[in-house]
Amino acid sequence: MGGTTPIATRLRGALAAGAGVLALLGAAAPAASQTVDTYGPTINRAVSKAKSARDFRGVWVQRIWVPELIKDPPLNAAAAASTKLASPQDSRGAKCLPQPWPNGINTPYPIEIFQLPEVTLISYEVHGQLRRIWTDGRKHPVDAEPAWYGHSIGWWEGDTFVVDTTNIKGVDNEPSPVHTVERYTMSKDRKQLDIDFTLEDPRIYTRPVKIKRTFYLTDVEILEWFCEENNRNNPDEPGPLNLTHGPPAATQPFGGILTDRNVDKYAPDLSKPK
Amino acid sequence: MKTATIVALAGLLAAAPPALAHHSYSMFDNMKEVKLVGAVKEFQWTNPHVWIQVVVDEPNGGKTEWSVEGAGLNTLIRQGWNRNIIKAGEKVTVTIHPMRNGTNGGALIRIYMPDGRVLGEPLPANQAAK
Repeated sequence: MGGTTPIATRLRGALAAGAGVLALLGAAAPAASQTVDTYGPTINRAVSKAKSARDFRGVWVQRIWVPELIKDPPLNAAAAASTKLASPQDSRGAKCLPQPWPNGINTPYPIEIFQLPEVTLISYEVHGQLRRIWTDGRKHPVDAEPAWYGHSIGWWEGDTFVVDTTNIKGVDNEPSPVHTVERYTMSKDRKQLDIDFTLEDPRIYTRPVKIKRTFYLTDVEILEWFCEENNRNNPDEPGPLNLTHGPPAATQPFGGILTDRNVDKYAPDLSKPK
Repeated sequence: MKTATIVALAGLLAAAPPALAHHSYSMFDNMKEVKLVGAVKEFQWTNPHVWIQVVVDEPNGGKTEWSVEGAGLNTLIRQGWNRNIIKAGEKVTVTIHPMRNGTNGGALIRIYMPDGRVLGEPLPANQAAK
């Protein structure tokens, strides 16, 4: 890993420090140098023989483990003045509680996409999350109960699959004003899935924020992942061998998205002597 | 930490990122490396993290138990680990990023197994030939 740039090193810190709410789970050392082809046990991907540019079925993983930062985030006045701004890391993950959307957009664990006529399912390995994206023409419900992954509807614009998500549960169990739009487009060789991602959160931003993600087709098999199996990191359950947290819990106003404003605070460059 | 060799390793993070987790790693001092020499008491092959309980012999004859946190099952399975890769009773040397608060615990860097295998983060290039 020679030649590591400061920002890259810093972002490694980001991976470590921001892991919880970012759902940047698992995925240790190999990092950027490892290709998905050698990533893990393989399965027979019969679906790869499909030829449609709209066939996204399969297992996908982000090759890099570093989320793109939101450069110069357009913070509103309240957010800019807040001292508890933008922690991508609260204690939810350490308590094995669900990670609200859009944290899944940052996952370094593989995801698996299933397409049915009426619904597209995305399985996120961490927490065994299964996200339903309705494609049967329904609209977002009015005054529905909020959910950790919100309510998603999808449609096609050409060969781009557009997903609109609202009604995400906030930490107060009320619907948050977070609104996301994902635009999935597969490369011609069908090995790359690009996501243009737009995040609206008027609690924080004065305008929508756009980032990109790229997932790569992989033969990795999705494994089960149960957080409650042996969670020794719950800050609510201190014990002689429990490892509890240093930083205070914070709310999740950035939806778990690191920005160049919060990265230093929550993912300091650990290569620099203090 | 009497038995521990503490080394400040400013450049260590450049070698490889810490194992990612379902929680912050800020409780660990990533600038320090502690070496534990002892015997495995228990290998907890679990999510969201694996844990290696290591009993270290103190110079005064006492023993201390350390809790060493590794990555999660899914990550480690993909790196070739399995439930039998570490066994209770094995004499090991473990390097960790220690807890900042002085608790006998830390984040796994590497574990040197009795048969010569080194598990965990890849060794730096200048040590790999050893």
